[in-house]
Amino acid sequence: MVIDLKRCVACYSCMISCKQENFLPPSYFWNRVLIGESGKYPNVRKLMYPVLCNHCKEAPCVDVCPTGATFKREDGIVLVNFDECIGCRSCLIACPYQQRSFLDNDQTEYFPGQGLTPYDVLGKELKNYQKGTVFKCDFCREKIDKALERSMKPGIDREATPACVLACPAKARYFGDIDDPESEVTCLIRDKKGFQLHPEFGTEPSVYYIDY
Amino acid sequence: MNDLVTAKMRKNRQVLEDVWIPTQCGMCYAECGIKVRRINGVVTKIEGNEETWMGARGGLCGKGVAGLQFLYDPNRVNYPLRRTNPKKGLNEDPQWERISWEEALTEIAEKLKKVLDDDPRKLLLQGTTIRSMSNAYGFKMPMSAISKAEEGAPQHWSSGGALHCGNGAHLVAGMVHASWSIVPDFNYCKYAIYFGASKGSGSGHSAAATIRLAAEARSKGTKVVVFDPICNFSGGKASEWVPIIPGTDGAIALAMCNIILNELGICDYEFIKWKTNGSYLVKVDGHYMRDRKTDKPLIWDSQNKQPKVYDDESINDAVLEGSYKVNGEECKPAFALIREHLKKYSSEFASEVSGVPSKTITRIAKEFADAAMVGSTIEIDGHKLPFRPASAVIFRGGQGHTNSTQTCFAVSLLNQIVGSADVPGGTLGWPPCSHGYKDTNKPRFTPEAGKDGFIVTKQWLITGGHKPWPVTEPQHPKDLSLRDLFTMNSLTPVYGFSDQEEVWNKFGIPFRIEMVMGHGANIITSVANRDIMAENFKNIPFTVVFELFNNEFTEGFADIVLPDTSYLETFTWLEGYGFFFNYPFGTEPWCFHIYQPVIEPQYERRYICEVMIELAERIGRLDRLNDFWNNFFGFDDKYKLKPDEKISWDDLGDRALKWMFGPEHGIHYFKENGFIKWPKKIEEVYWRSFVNARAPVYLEFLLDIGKKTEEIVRNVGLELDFQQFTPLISWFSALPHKTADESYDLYAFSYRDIMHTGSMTCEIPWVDEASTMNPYTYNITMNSDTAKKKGIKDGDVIAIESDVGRKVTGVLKTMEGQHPQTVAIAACSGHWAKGLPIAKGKGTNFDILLELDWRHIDPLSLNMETCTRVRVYKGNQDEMGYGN
Repeated sequence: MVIDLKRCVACYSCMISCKQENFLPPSYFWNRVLIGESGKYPNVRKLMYPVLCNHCKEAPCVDVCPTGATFKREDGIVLVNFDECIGCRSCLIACPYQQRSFLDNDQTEYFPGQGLTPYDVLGKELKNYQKGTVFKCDFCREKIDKALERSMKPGIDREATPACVLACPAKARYFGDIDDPESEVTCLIRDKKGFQLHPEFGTEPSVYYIDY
Repeated sequence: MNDLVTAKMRKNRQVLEDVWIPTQCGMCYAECGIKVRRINGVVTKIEGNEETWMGARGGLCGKGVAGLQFLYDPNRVNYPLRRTNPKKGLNEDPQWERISWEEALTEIAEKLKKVLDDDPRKLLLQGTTIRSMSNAYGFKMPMSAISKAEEGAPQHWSSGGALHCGNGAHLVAGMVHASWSIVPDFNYCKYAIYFGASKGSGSGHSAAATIRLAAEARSKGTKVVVFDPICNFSGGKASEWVPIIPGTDGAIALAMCNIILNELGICDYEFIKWKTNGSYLVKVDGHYMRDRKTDKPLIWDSQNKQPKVYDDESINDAVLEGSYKVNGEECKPAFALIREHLKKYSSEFASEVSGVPSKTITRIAKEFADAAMVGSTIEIDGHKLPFRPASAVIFRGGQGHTNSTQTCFAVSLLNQIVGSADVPGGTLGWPPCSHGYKDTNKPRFTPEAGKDGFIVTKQWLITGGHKPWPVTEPQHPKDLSLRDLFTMNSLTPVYGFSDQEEVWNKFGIPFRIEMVMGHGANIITSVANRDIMAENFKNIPFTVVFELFNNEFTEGFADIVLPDTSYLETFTWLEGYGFFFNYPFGTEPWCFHIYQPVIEPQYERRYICEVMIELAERIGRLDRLNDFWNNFFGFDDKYKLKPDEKISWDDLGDRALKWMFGPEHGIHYFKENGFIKWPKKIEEVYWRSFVNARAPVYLEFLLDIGKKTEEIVRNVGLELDFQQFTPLISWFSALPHKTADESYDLYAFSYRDIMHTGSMTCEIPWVDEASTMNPYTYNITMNSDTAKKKGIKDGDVIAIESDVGRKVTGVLKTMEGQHPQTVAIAACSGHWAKGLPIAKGKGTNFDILLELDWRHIDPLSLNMETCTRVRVYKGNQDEMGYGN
């Protein structure tokens, strides 16, 4: 994935679309937007960083998982199998980007004390989140896999593209194969000097940023 | 709450239905095209519609996505409710009793008929700006129409309209661009200046489309300079953020005009001569030199050395300098006066006023003028047009002061000096010119030249609309709105004045509001100080509100609340009517959308426009309503509604759509496709090059209007800042600049937060999560250094107190990116209503700090002052939240 920081306006659409697509419970986020400042008055720059799981090539979460519940697919997506996760949370500690969450409660009411909405109820039926396990961004795996079966192209066809990428009104997000030297994402990284967050962690993120 | 979800669904996880419905977003008034997913009867996802240009081509801003939670919020008003606690006030418990629609409408119809028979002017209709198309054209205007003109008409008010909307901005955008608001032609613009505007990072006008276009422009290297007291959403995306004292944008714009014209010698003289009144001859008394026969203003033909009327086709060239004698009287071209007048606005002067370094002002003026490439042309679709890739825009913040109109004209002068008005790359109005859909030539509206050669706006509505020119002569007001006195006003704030009784009594207006009907419009939190609003509304005998939620206004002041449909439960074609502030602008194609229900209205919710039809019938005025619709569309005999025809809202929509777009494009087509699109012609986009009409750079009309206004106002013993009625665009300080007591050392202001529109978005849990995650949205922000000097730090509870003692309390977050003499609160939060449990207690309500009265307004446009002088100190935790 490539995220263009010049385009991003910090509208939180990626964050909310991700939650909506994946029926995430309250207070859990797979996509977040971090806001900060650099410089001193009046030479100030507002910092806006959409962040998510980096689906690292050298993923420490995969290394530490005792059961193999966390694993890296051939196409690069790092996933968690909820049925095999024992909730030891070693991966939470191992991830230097703090992009994994432990689902530690049953609190799923967005309107506390007022029950579940039809959307929430349907979400429970469509998604298998389990209390006591870890979950995180899966690049909308379920959606993408269904589209791949129909020979759709990730990052190009909407059905084969993660929700956060589609949502961005500033077209600041790109999705594709960074191992393909001709892909749009590879070209962007090369031509616009894309960088990873904290490369010194040595995890080889698959998410790059351009145009700071 | 879960009646909608059947036991069957819980048992099996089969997806029986998975469809995407095209409709429009209703989270602000941009009305972006969206597609909404419904699985097994449940709405599950909202995305931008990638096929339309009315939006982000598949993307959508965060609040648009979050709208799903509006639909299913268990706190929605689901049934008609009656207040059983007769007491009204800010914290009163209404003690709602559920009633039937029959009971509600019987009572409402009875009271409505009574007030319309008695005096329609005693009825106040208010509507939220967010659904302004629905309530303005489907409710307020029909309600006015069913009272015939000779009987008087109900009063209209837009909530938040006085605060969030811009009277100065709309007036000037109307006169100079034939439109409601202005935006850079992002596709071609290379240099843009924003004065208190958030094009591309806020809500409102074409929200998602401007996000998309501004991002594209930024990506391609367009420079955007943002004058703003805060470096947040707008300043945060600037190439250069320039901190400024609120309300001083006019001084900067005028200084730039001076620098460009008088120091750099750059000017689009041809534009001034032929597209403005800069070439009109002006007498010593400031009025035009007019032709004795035709009364038209005169221009001096430099070749034939004689005066000619401005539209005389034989004119070879006009002068912009010098002194001439016509009919024995001395006169000069207006532009000569302007040039001389501008000389007093040096960059040092503007720096003194605004706090912006003089060198910065000079540099940006030069950059802007150079970028405008005066004299250059571009060929688009075979048309050779002026090319001016520089644009200056002003909106909500910049114009929200008692110097609103003069400030907006100052920015328009900056554009017009370099010829940047409705040309490629320059400042565009949202599309005010349409030749219509290819098969029907509807909707059709083209600005044309009117009185004195100036631009007259057109719309495809026959009734109502934005018609700033010609300005009607002020009269002694007979209307509570005072709009018959302040004839340049669009949205009157008078219903919120704390001194309205005194003012109305002085003008001898004998009647008062006896009934209020509203659509949304939480006037308690979104206009000015809530005590003022409460005082004005608590004694009104009968108030009915269509609402999504019970809020501070309904709980404190409504007698009956009616359950409104949310946008996801509504069919309407009205929100597709852009009223030139959300159609795709620039060269992007025309797109006309509809709203359609993704699920049928739940519980007993009903759409206001549909109820309007029933109300009209109940009070025996259906014929007048049908007459209104006939005139609204200009239906021919085939389409006309018969006087006593009771047409359903859906059928009326079908008829309207077919009338506009042809018999094969009725409701069925639109429900299937969501919208219709057709290409824009260059003559529509850059209409200014094809229409012989002028815009004012010299405000001659203000002389007579000012004189008349002064006469009427002084006659009743009131005063106004009459000096602002001056034809030479000038700097006037705004009310907050004049506060004598220096201990109120900070300017408090509010600003658009991209996550929020009006006050309702605070109730959405996803938006609440984002707002909590954001360091600024729910907090009070101040410059780090200023805070340090005051001994306060991040996380402290602080109090903000205005110079007349209004006070709010909240949590401090310091910023480097904020002007040191300011304190800011984003959006419109700080709710306390029981009906808004998610919103309750979050953030701080800025509007409490605002006074609203005869003094706190721009005398030309009645724009209210949205900034106030305050002092800040450590606050009391117990004073946070307003339920006490």
